[in-house]
Amino acid sequence: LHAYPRETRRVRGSEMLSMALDACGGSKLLFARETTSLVVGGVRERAMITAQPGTRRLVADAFCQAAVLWTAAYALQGLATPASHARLIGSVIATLLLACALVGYDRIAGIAGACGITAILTISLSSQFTPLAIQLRYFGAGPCLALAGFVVMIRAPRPRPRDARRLLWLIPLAALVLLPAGHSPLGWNSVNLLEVVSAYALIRLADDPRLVIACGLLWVTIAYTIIYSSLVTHTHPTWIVGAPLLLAVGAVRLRSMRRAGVAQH
Amino acid sequence: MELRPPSYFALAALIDGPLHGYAIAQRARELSGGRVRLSTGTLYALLKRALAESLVVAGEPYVVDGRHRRDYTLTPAGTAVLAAEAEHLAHAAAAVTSRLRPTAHAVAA
Repeated sequence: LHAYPRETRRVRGSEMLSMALDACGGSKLLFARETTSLVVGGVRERAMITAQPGTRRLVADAFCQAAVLWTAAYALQGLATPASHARLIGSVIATLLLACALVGYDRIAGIAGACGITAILTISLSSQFTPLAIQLRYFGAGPCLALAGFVVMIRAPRPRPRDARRLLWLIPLAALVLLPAGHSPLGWNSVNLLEVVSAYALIRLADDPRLVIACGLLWVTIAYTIIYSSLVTHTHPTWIVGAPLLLAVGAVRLRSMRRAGVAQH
Repeated sequence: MELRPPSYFALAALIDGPLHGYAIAQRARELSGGRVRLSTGTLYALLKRALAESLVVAGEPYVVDGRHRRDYTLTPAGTAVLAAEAEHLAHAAAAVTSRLRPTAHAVAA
């Protein structure tokens, strides 16, 4: 029954359970059938609720989530391996911004994030030691995606109630800060975070493809950076293929949810 | 509005009066000659949509022998949708049957 939204469980949970028990009649096979039908029914109902606002809203949400995830990765990288005092302060600010976005203050987080990224890009691009073309290609993908997400958060904030309980998502972030840092150009801890969130997103794919799309977008930007940074050696990790695949899986699920919403009976 | 067989037989089960979930599933199975077997998840998804479209109304919950129940009743709108679908199916069946009969006679001859 926990596959169903809380409201459905509250209103019809007990009678659904009674019917399932009656329908089983002591048979293990029927019990498995009824249990499966409840899980499938619950996931479908959640998917219907997710799909209600329409494809545009869901894609916008995915961009917002990508911006939030990028902020988390940025904060994590800076907190785990602070390269400078300024970078540490930047990470603390990013964590505060993340907390704002998690609770539901999308516009505030969007404005702060857009200003922050503009500052990061301006500083990066004004460096005198690296050619501008290389800087744009190396630094551009991730922050530009996050910038797009922050603009969406300003223009069309996610319509959801404010809830301080979502701050609990900062706990896995804090756990990853305590892990030892690796040698990835983006920081292993950031990739670890994205791995954990991607695994969770795939579990939730059946009823909510937004997080899978957000993770897919971020993986594509990381893949782009790795491909560009290892152009000389031509050695790309095999998981790079998975980045666009994750994005495609999310998009296909989004499309199928919209179609299912059209043909209800 | 076109109804799929599970929705059609679930609504048809309520023609004779209000029934609770498990009774609807049993009645739908009888009416369909065993072809439609409504599991709990399927039936409650159908009922939720039917409630949203005011095809059925839900009664007050009650408990019998430790089982939580709630009776569902077909509304006039639900009856109208069901009647329209029955007519549509009868028309479709008649169209095919009337063409099959001469063919069957020709084969027999």
